[in-house]
Amino acid sequence: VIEMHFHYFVMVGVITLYQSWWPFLIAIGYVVLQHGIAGVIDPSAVYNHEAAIEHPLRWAGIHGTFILAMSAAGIASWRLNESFLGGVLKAERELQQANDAMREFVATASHDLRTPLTSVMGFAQTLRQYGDRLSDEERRAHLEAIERGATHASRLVDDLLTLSQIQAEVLPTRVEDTAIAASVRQAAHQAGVEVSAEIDERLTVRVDPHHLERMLVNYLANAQHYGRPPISVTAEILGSVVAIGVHDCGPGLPPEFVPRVFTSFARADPTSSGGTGLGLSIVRGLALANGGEAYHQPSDDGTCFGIRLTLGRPVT
Amino acid sequence: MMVVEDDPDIRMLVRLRFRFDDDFDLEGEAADVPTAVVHATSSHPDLIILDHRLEGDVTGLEGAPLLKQAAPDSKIILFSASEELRIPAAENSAIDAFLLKTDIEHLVSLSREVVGLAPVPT
Repeated sequence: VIEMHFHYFVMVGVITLYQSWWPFLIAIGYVVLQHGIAGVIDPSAVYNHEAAIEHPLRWAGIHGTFILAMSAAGIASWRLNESFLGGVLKAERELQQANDAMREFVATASHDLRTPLTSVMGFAQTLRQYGDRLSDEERRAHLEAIERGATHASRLVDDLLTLSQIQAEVLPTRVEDTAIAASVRQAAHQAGVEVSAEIDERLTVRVDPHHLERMLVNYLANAQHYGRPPISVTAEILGSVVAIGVHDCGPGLPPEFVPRVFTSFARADPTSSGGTGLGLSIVRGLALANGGEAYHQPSDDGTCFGIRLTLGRPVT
Repeated sequence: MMVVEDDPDIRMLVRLRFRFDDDFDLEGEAADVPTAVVHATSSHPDLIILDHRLEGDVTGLEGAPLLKQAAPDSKIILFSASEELRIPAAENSAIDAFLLKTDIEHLVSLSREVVGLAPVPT
């Protein structure tokens, strides 16, 4: 019987080692079978002292309790090990996902940078080689293409740098009470978008003013490019937070795109041109850097992108 | 030859590069694979310059076999800004060559080589 227990504990060790129920079940089955058979054929092999033979039920209770307690210890150590290994596997999985995302990011960034650079290099080379065989109008068209390519590449590099600073948490951020209405006007002017906004001039949020302006410019530019007028901006106080929403009357986003909308290089229509595909991920990063959050809210008559920021002290 | 490219500036650039080579005539342009297949079926170009990211759901890599089926004698160059496509392009039997977009200065010389024309002396 003592040897039986020894085997049993070895089996518990095996359970822990191999992370499998089967050795455990086999061990239990083996012990029960052995005790049952031995108890009938040679009771002294199981009930190895007189008290046990006299009170077999009591003996079985003590013996069973002992085995159950040791089993519980084995299972507990197994669970602990499983939990530890589960944590390691989860971390490994997350690392793999981060690596995949980074690889995809680099591939997309390289592609999106090479396309405008192709225009710049290709037209410049052609002008150098064949410029004297082109008309003035053609030369002008090609120079304009170079300018478009350079502008796009430059915007993409700027956005990539901003995004890198956000992700590395080194983006200079100076949070202060910032008037929403004035920021909306500046952003609308910068984005060249006609906007209606009925916002209390005294209402402020705690944010870096440059960041608020950039977030609004990105939202407004998207509303103009992908949505439909009229475009409006609202600010709603929700306790200690202000929700600033940019609304447009466009068709909204395809439902399958919504979960990815704030992801870098995510585009509802991959062939659409103009943007860098980084605008909304920059908004999300800037909102987080300023202690807020970015959100998307579909509605019956269009779509709304917004940011929630901490309410500031009113402008006096 | 035919160019299948969704970016109008790159289409203009490809047109321009071949304008100074008398051995090539631009027979068609398309921004997506279905339109390109229609053109290829009717004009059977000797050469197709094919981008990967195009309008519509079909990519250049997916569209190459369809174009080859439409015009079996056409040579296809996958002309993409994605370096990662070099190996998939080599493994795609419908594609005859791959060129990275930033290597556009080699587009005409590679095209001549692919269709079996002698190199132009430099």
